[in-house]
Parts: sequence; structure tokens; C-alpha cells
Amino acid sequence: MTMKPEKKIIAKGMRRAIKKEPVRQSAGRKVAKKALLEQTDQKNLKRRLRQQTSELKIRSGQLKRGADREKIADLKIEEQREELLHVTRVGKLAEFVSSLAHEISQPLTAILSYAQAAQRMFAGREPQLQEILQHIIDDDHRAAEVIRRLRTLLKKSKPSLELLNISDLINDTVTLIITHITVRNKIINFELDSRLPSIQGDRIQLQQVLLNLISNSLEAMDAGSDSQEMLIKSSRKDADTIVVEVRDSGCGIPAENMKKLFTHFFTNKPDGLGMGLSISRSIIEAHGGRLEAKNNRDRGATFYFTLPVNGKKDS
Amino acid sequence: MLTDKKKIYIVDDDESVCLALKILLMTYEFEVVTFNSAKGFFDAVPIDATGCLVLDIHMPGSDGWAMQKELLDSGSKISVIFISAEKKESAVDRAMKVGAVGFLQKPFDGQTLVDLINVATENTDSMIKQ
Repeated sequence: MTMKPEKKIIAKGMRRAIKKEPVRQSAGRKVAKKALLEQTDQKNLKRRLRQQTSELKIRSGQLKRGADREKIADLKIEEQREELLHVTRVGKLAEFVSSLAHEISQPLTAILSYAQAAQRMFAGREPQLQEILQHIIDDDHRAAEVIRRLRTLLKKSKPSLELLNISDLINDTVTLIITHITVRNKIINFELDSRLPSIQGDRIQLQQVLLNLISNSLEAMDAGSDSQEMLIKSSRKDADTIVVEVRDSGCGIPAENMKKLFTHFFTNKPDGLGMGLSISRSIIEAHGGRLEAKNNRDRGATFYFTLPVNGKKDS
Repeated sequence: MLTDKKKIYIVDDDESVCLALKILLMTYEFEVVTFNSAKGFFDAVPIDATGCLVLDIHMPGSDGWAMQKELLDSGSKISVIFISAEKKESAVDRAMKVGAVGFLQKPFDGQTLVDLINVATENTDSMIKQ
């Protein structure tokens, strides 16, 4: 009997002990486990932190790339907008030039007819008057030709090509405005290479470019420069390319204007249309060349364009 | 004698063009009358009139094409030379198709116009493409 309860007790105790043991054991393990867990947790935490940090880095990289992409997209949109504006402006310009051409053609018709009538009225008499009348007629033709070319240019038709000697063309062009240059007390110097190979180009269009560059140079020197000399130089750049430089000793180009120089409607002249250089560049590019500008080391600026020899592409 | 002179009509909305062409053509011994509109011409010139009409295409109101058609429809024998500040191939073709003697782009040389007028008045059927 006693055994029983003892047994029971023991058994109970044992049971309790057994029962309790695991509890105690469990508590000890728990502590160990807890410590282990804590360690593991810390490790995990650290790992997770590292992971999250690297994820964050990746995410921030992605975000940055996203932002960059957005920036690029914005730039592209900006470019497209510019392009669109450009097209609209050119479209409007073509319209404008067309109506301008019409309006100018009317007085040109009248001037030509008056001059030719006067020539006939004084036929065989007054040689000086005849000469003046002939100048009026020639210039009338020239103005009509400019209008015709401007129309052609805006229609984006192909230029009429012929073989040209660029140095001769420069001489011919300067002859057209030499009076203008002398009257303004400017000196024009030349360094023309007479042995340059011929180029294929549109005479009137290239003359238009030269006239534009020369008159820009003259104006740059008007703007309060003490030197009044300019230089036109033609030379060979390489086997396939010739280069023409128009160098002035004027006020130079402010850095902020450098990029905008060849943009349509960009001008720093109070009465400028902002068309000269952009048209000039498109003419040169249509000829397979390039038109660029740079400031000179000493003073003034140089506009220079390349043209491929005999129609070869400039690379 | 005045009656021997060939009669030229000029219709252009630009008065200066009219006057200059008139003075120029008078040096070639033509008799010249000018109008600034199609209406002005129809009001003053009888349908059976002969001679040569130098006609501007671009005019407010009735333009050169419309005026030439009206002239043709009325049975007029006047030969027409179109003048225009714009030269479009389509316009040159159109001028030839509607039976004009020629098409000149402004500004043009007096002699070219006179040559055309002479052809027009000598042989009204001939068509010259400028």
C-alpha cells in the first residue's frame, strides 16, 4: 500500500520530475535557444539589413535610372517640341517668304520696266545715263534671282550644280559688295589658293553664303571695334575637302550666343531677321559641307565652311 | 497713225506695274490702256475689241484665270498673256491649256513681252510656252 503511494509519490514526483524536467530543461534550452535565436536574429537582422540596404541601393539605382530615363524622355520631348516649333516656323516662314516674294516682285517689275523704257527713250544718247540704267536693270535681275533662290531654298529643292572654282567665286562675290566695304572704311584681305580643285555647287547659293558671312563680319566690326580688317581665306583641308574662312577683327561672339548662332530667328541685331546663318548652314550642308564659327585667339570671330572636292562627301 | 498701232490692254491690281509697263510698251509704239481690275476692263472694253491683253493672275476679286474664262466665254478675240510673280509649272501648263499666248514670271524683260505680243497679234492661234 505504502509502496503504492510512494510509488505514486515517486511516480508522481518522477512524473513531476519527469514532467518538470523537460520544463526546466526546456527553460534552459529556451534561454540557450533564445540566445541562439537572438544571435541568429541579429545575424538575420544584419543580413536582412544588408539585404534591404542592397535592395534599397538597387531600388535607388533603379529610381535614379528611372529619373535619368525621365530626364532623357523630357529632353526628347523638348527636342521634339523644338523640332515641331522649327517646322512650324519654317512653314510660316515659307508662307511669309512666298507673300514677301510676291510683294517685292511687283515693284521689281515696275522698276525694270521703267528702266528699260528709259533706256529705249535715250537710246544712242546719254551714255552715262545708259550705264546707270543698265546698273538698275542688272540689280533688279539680281534681286529677282535672290527671291527665286529663296523660294527654291524653302521648297527644299535640289540646288542647280555646276563645277566651280571657289577662289574665283569669292572674287566674284566680293566684287558685288566692294563698294559697300570701301564706303564703310573696311579693309578686306585675301589669302586665296588659286590651285584648289574645283567643287560642285550652286553658284548663287554659295554666293549668298559668302555675302552673308562677309556682311556679318562687317557688322561685327561696326560694333565699336578699333580694327577694321577682315580676311577671306581659301585653302585645302585634306585631299577631299576645301575650307573657306571669313575672319573678322570685330566684337567676337559672346559664349552664350555660340550655340544659338545657327538657329532660325536667332539674331543679336536690332533689325535682323535671324535667318542668314541658318539658311547659310543649310546651304552648306546641302552641298555636303559644314559651316562653323569660332572666336579668334586675339579678337573677332571666324566663320568657316568646308566643301567636298568635286562633290565628294565631307567626312 | 494712231489707228495703225497695236492695241494692248494691261490688267494688274498694282498701279505702278500698270504705269511702268504702259510707258515701256509705248516706247515700242503700242497703244496701251491699263486697268486695275477685271471689272474695270469689262466696263470699258467692248466684247468685239481686238488686240492683246497682258493679264495679272494674282488679283483681289476676280483673278486672272476667272477673267480670262469670262473673256473666252463671251467670245472675245483678244489674245491673252498671263503675268505673275509666282512661277509654278502647273500655272504655265494651265495658261497654255486655257489658250493663252504665253506666261511670264515677274519681273520680266520688256523685249520678251514685246516678242510675245508680236506673236500674239500676228498669229492669235499660236501658243508659245515660256
